[in-house]
Amino acid sequence: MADKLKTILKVFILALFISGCNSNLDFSGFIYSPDRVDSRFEQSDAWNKIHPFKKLIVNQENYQILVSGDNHIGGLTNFNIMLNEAKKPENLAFVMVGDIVTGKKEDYLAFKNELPDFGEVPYFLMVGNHDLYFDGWKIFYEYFGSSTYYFTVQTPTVKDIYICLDSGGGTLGDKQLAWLKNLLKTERDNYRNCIVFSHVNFFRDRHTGSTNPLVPELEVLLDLFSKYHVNMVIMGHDHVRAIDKFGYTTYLTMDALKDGVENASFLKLGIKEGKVVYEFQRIK
Amino acid sequence: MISNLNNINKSLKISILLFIICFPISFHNVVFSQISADSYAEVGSNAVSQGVYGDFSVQLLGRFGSFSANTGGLMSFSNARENIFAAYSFVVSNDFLILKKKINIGSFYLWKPFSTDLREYNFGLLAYSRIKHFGYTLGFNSRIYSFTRAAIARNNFADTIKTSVWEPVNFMYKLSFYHQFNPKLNFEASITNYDRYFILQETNPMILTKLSYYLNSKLQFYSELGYMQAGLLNMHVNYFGIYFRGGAVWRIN
Repeated sequence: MADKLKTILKVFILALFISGCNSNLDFSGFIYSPDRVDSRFEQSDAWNKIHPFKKLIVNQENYQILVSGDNHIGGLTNFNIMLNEAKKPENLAFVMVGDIVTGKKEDYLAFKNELPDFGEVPYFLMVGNHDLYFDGWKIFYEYFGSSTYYFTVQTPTVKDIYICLDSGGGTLGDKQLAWLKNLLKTERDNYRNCIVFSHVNFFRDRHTGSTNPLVPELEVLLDLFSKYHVNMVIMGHDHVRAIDKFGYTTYLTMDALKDGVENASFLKLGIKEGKVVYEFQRIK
Repeated sequence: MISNLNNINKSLKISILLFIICFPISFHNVVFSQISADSYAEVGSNAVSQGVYGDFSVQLLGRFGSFSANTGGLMSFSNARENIFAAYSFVVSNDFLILKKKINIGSFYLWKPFSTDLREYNFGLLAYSRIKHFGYTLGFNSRIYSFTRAAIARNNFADTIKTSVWEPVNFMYKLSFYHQFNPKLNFEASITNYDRYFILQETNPMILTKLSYYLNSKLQFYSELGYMQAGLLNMHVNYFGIYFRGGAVWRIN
């Protein structure tokens, strides 16, 4: 029995080592992660204090933002399709809800080189678990800064708020959660619509190996988003779209935009006549 | 009027709960051959508790031959919670002999009023078997998050608005290692995704350890330590929370 267990353990460790050498996965994260969500949030918070939250101004009541998840760059084909769409005048900005890259520096660099000037097309990024592999947070922070922040859109008559969260580690952590609670408490009433972006999807719409927020955290978030009438929570992580409506809040999990996947799509998130509307744009 | 109705509803629910909890005691000589009470106090801290929280649980177990029923409630005290009453559970199970192996198969119901407006309902099946030093529990639960009727009325939700989310199947597991230091002192370490009053998603395993001391045939003391982490299967582990509990099991008859 003991010999069998030893053999299984050896095969498991060898398999981890071999797959770790050849893939874009960092299996060390099973045991140890070089950055924790609380320390990432502290860094994001410090960044936010120096770089004020962005305010976009539009001269019409209706506008559209593009949203993508799980690009896993490496490949840039699908990202560039979305980027070309984002450059069209009907689109105000684009948002990427994590798993932008593999976490490797060369992929971060390839992505950074493709990004347009913020003045040309405003963009908003946040980390997913893959972005954190290979100590990727250091590179994300160096290139893009905060992963927990908000931005606002001012139309001629009203304002909407968009909140971006760091859930790459499967939890928001107590500090980020306190920040989110305080933000909703102090600011929600000043805005018409409130949209939250986060990487890790909330509900288990299908059986996968990917992690969701632990049930105690999920319960707090469901209650919070219900209380403050958050219109929509947009997530990725699961790679397959799912729409769960719960009270006044729509929980939307997006398809992956990764190159080579059959269901690749991004989201056209619109504000039309004051209401939040959306449409998936399939990559052909 | 609505407030009065709510009060009546609450009273009715509490009465039903008390009846369910007290029924086995009142009729234990008739229905059950053995009745036990299990009570514990827990302190812990996690990413959502806003500091240290304290829990208190009472469970009653009735056994009649191979059949057993277990019911209990949890009270929770923390800065983050709106409700003190945190959970109610009811479990029935029976021992079966399958392929010459004793397997305990049970079904359960778990109700959690996790905020003023929202509830979590769970029901499911679990099967448990033990071979010497190892125990295996496998099963599944079905989970519903739902608004209360009072919240639906207060929010003026139209009929077209969904007020519940259903996760049909979530696998439950508990793999345990047992060690007996001596006939009075036992140790158990488990990897699991559930504990008495919560069920995590199948992708969020946690570690649970238990040390039991049998004072005599009527009284057992135990302590448990639970360690929870997030993001294991994201391959980016983050500490989530820890709790410690101390309790006693008393065989009433």
